[in-house]
Amino acid sequence: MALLKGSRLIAGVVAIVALRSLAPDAAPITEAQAKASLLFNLGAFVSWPATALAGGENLSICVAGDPDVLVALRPFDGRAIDGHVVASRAVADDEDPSTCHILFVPGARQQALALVRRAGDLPVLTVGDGAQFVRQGGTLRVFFEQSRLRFEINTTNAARTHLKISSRMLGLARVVKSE
Amino acid sequence: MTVNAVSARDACDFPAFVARLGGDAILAREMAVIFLDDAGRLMTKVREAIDGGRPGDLNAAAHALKGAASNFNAAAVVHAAAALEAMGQTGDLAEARTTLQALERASQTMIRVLRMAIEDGTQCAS
Repeated sequence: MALLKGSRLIAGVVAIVALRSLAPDAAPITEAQAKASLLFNLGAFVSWPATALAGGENLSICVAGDPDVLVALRPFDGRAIDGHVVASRAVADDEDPSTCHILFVPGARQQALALVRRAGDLPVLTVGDGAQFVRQGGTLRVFFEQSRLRFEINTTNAARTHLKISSRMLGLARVVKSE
Repeated sequence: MTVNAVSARDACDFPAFVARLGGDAILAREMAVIFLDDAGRLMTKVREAIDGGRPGDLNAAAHALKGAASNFNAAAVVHAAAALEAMGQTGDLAEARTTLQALERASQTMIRVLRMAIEDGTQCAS
């Protein structure tokens, strides 16, 4: 991940203390950058049905109303993950999410949960940072606890959307199941 | 299976994980910290499943530990966890305690060298 340095650091954006402490020689990165890097790398931990993501097809990362994350994703556009070139874009709340492979919904925008509901059983990996995200139909929640990155995965929702999440990721996450 | 000594190479390979994340060392470190924070909990689940004679729980706990450890190419831990996962699947726990000892040794080495790798920037596989 490219690191923002000096004046390029976006003022007011939360810097991740843990990341700095773990990499004392590195400049701080923003929370948006950490999320962008995670969204990009999720492609290596998740398998989509071939009907949803054929070999060589672009992997589409959609972001609902979080310009900071969208900007932070720009450096990843055109890079490949598991043979799929990544393309990120903004998605409106009333849009059809079926063309997204990964859909990021920030917790601050409850209205964007309509996108998650619309994604329904589609093979779209829904990612959010709201406290109740994986209990509101989402599959993966990324959050910070005591300044440390954490994941929560709803395996029931993942199964419903026919996504296969690697045990490499499941082993690092808190696993939630819906009834 | 037995694991008498765990070499640094078998303990973990942090650079390989960084490479898998497209060279993002910071994200790799964050995910390694998650693993270090959770490794003890996963080991406890494995131990309790064996003590309680619960093969299903052993299968699930060993599978989670194997998956997480495989991120770091922690061969010794993955090997022992896979053996325990298989025992949990078949329900034959006769060798589980012996393998658990091997897993605990491998896990301790892995945690030590992985912690060094992420805190000091040293490579755990050399």
